[in-house]
Amino acid sequence: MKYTQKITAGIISFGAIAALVAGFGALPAFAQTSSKVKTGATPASQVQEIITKSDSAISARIDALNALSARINGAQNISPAEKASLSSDITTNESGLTSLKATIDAGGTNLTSLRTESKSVFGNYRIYALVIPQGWITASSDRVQTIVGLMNTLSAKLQTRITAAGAAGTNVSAAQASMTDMNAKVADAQSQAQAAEAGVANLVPDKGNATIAASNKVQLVAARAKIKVATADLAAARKDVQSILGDLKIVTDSSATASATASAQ
Amino acid sequence: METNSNSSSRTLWVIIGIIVVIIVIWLIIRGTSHSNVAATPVDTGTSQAASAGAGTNQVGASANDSSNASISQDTSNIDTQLNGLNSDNASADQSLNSKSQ
Repeated sequence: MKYTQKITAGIISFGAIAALVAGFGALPAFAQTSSKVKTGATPASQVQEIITKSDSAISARIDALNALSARINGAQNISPAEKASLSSDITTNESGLTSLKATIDAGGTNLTSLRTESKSVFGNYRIYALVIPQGWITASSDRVQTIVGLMNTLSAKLQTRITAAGAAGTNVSAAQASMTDMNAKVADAQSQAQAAEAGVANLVPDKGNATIAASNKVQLVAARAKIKVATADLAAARKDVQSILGDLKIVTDSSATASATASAQ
Repeated sequence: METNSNSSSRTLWVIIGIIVVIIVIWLIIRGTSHSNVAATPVDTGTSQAASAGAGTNQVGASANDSSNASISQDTSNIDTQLNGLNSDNASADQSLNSKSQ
């Protein structure tokens, strides 16, 4: 009897622990699926929660779009047509989100329509999935082109100094080798940046089409990889500049910061 | 009569004294102005020497201006833009890695 009670108590304890473990294991999935509203809440509190979360999501997206807009407006190398296209996309999305926010805020107590409108923040406006990465990759490409222009100007000046030093009897073989590498890296950076920009220029919102969404993701990741290569090229070119300055014993104000910027990816 | 003679003599010495003081002051002023005139060419010479010293570093400087100052400015501009590129890249990565749509 005593043993039977112990066995029974053990089975009950095991069952309770197993139920707890299963419950905790399922908790994240539950939290994800019910992240918008708490189950068991009153309709009024559910409505308010949907409105609050939707407003927060919309505000974050509009802030991100504003930051991108400022950067695109300051771009120096992208074509006027592409700049206008990006700016138009940003403005259209901002207007749509602002209008959606007003609709959600005035949505009343219809939970079904509120849920549909709230989902459209994520489904109809692919802000983080397309617009923002597409814009920043274009901005990065623009920046690479700016640096390429500066590097080419500097390259010509350094070549003048190398030629003069060589004519004066200095051994400039190391400096010339660095110069050759610098020019190659700068040319590759330009090529990579142009390819990245072209790769994302014509992407379109997927509007719920999973195939288009996947294709967009692939294109964005590939373009970002090209920008990474371009960034590494420019960092290497900057190191070449530093080597040339050292070989020619040219002291510049930015010598101290060269190592930091050259290691940036 | 003797009193008048003493008085005239004293007046004469006073006048002589005043004249001597005036001459001394004039000499001092003249000496100072001469030293200023002499100092001017020395200063000019110094600045010319400084300019010549900077000029020796300007190897091949002409239309392209490959002077140290110009190269320094170029490298500084490049470093600024490289930092900007890092910032652009960080924004791109943040959006690409975002779980939100």
